[in-house]
Amino acid sequence: MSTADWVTAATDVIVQRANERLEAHRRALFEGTDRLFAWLMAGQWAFGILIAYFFSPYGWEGKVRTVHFHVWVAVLLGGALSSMPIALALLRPGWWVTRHVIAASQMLWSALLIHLSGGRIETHFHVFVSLGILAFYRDWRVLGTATVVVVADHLARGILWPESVYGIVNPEWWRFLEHAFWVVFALAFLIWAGRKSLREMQQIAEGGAQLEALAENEWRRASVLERTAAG
Amino acid sequence: MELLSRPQPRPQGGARGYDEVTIRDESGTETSYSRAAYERLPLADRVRPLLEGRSRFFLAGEEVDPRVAIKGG
Repeated sequence: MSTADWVTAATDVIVQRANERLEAHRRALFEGTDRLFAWLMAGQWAFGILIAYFFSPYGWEGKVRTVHFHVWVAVLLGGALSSMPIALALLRPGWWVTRHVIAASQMLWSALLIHLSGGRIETHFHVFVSLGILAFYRDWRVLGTATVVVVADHLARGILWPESVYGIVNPEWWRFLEHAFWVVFALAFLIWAGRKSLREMQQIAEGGAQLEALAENEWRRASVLERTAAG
Repeated sequence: MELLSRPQPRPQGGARGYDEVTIRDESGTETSYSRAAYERLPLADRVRPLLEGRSRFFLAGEEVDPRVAIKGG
């Protein structure tokens, strides 16, 4: 093999290995974050049931005390919201669909917790915390899915059932835009940080490739010198 | 053969990173890149000169060992 052929072949292999390292790094990140959300989904389910159980009053049917509707909502709807992402995180970790289902479910969990707490403004913090955790994926498309879901939820419930989302029956029609503005404000920084982090991951992979190239060059020079000296 | 002829600068204590890179092409012409411009080159265009010993790294005008420069980030 001529030197030019060797250099071309070595370049291809080193670049390919760098790409594989970057992909492996990203895949590990996706899978790890999927597993984190599987635990979070289970925890949120338990938390939602506790909130409904302790904060929602019992209902009465005649003289019979019954479990409040909210508790069943927390058990059944919460279970439905958590089961799909947990199943995907365990069975298909790293798949792009998994993280989008997780993003949508996480935002629907925000909606459910806001509803269960009677539209408490403090419960809206769950949205921003969730966006921060979803940013672990370093994939802006996941944040896009989450944003579409949370804005659509606020818009729809703001029209159909405003006390469920804002805690009052007659909010201004544009109230959802105010919430959406703060979501977009947070997103701008989360997306910027995610892209920066991705760039750093790429630099690590490329730095490794350049060090490999240096090592190959040194090894080749040394081996040729040894062969020359031996000959 | 260029692979054999270029002496590599010795590692320098304290020298970290780089701010300029020169790459010599086959005709012997050296092209200078700022760090940002160098890092925007396709990876293959950075790897190939390193394999052939045609890249030189500088920090504040002083040549630094490529390994130290790249590791220095």
